[in-house]
Amino acid sequence: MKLPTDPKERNQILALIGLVAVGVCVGIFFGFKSLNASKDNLSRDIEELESSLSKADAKIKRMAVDEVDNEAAVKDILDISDKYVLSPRLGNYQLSARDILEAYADELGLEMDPVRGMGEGTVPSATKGAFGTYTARVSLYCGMHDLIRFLHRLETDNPYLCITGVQITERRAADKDRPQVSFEVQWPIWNDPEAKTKLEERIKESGSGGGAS
Amino acid sequence: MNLRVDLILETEQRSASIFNLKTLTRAVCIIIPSIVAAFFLVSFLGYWSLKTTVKDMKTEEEIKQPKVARADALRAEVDQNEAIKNELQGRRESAVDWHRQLVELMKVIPQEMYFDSLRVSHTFGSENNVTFRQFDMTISGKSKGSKSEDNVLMVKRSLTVSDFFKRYTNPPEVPVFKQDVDPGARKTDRIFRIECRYKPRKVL
Repeated sequence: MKLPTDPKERNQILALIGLVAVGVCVGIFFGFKSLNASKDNLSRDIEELESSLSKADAKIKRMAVDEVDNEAAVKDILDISDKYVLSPRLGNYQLSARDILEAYADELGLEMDPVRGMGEGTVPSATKGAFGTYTARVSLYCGMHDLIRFLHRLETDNPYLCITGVQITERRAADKDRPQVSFEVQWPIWNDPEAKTKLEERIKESGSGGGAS
Repeated sequence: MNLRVDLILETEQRSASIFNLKTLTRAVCIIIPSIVAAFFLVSFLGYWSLKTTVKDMKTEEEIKQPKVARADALRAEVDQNEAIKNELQGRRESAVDWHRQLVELMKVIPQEMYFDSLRVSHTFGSENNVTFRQFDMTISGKSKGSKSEDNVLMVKRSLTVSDFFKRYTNPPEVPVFKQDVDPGARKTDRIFRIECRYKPRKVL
């Protein structure tokens, strides 16, 4: 193909070719730019996905360890709960507390007034804990030595209870060696008794191989 | 007068040089678009490959998602159970062994001193998201004889410096120390009250 011999027409065609060429170049430039931007985005996505997948792999890999840790933790909690956390008898904590305290008093040969339940309480905290408190008051007439024996038995047999109050008042009468003594015993209790049941079910599931794998 | 005679037609003219404008123009018209097209193709293939990789990885992520959700739930359960264990541990560590406190207290009380009353009280406190137990012990009684003041000071000092009590208590106060005005009391007999605030014991 030849360019027209007329200079005006030739210039017009050359200008048109130039314009088309510039247009094509601009198109190619923006095409590459857009493609590279998309590739950069995809590369970033890949990096994020790689990180996410490696985290996912780590989590999946850790499951076996977590399963063992969880089972151990649940067993520990249930063990402590069975031995040391006060359980209600038909929703009544006073009967359980009374039985425990009277058993100790009988064993130590101490005469005790009827155990007075002080009621359930909560431990103030920013996050709601799993355990509340139940406090019972014991009153008896005994010497310091007997009181110490009583407290010793209570505190060593159940390290999770707490003696929250002691009052020793001297009696003016003839029986001065046996002052009036009262003390308060605070046990941990489950805030939600269902929580313990759930833990027991969890252990049963793990035992039957139904745990997460 | 010069006469030019073209022996060959203009269209039949050839050059001895490899490069002439026409060839160069043709070459440029073919090679540059080819290079551009090749670049574009390679770039597009790279883009396509990345897109496929992303798609595969997303599929893999979706496949792993249920397992990850189970792992997260398990982790949350472990954390929750560890928190319960820590709570129980806090209960255990925050309790004061009062049988030992009383035994040690008996050791530092001289025979000339008598208790009218001994009272221990307890409250829960909370500060900066830390919950603690606060115990206070108040001892009221009488000290008999000429060494009354020395005896009370000695008890106060024992509660302050003894290795045992130092771990538990702040230095005690003696807000009451006065003459015993009971009819049978001697001039040197004193009434005292010792107040002892225990160090806060962290529960949670």
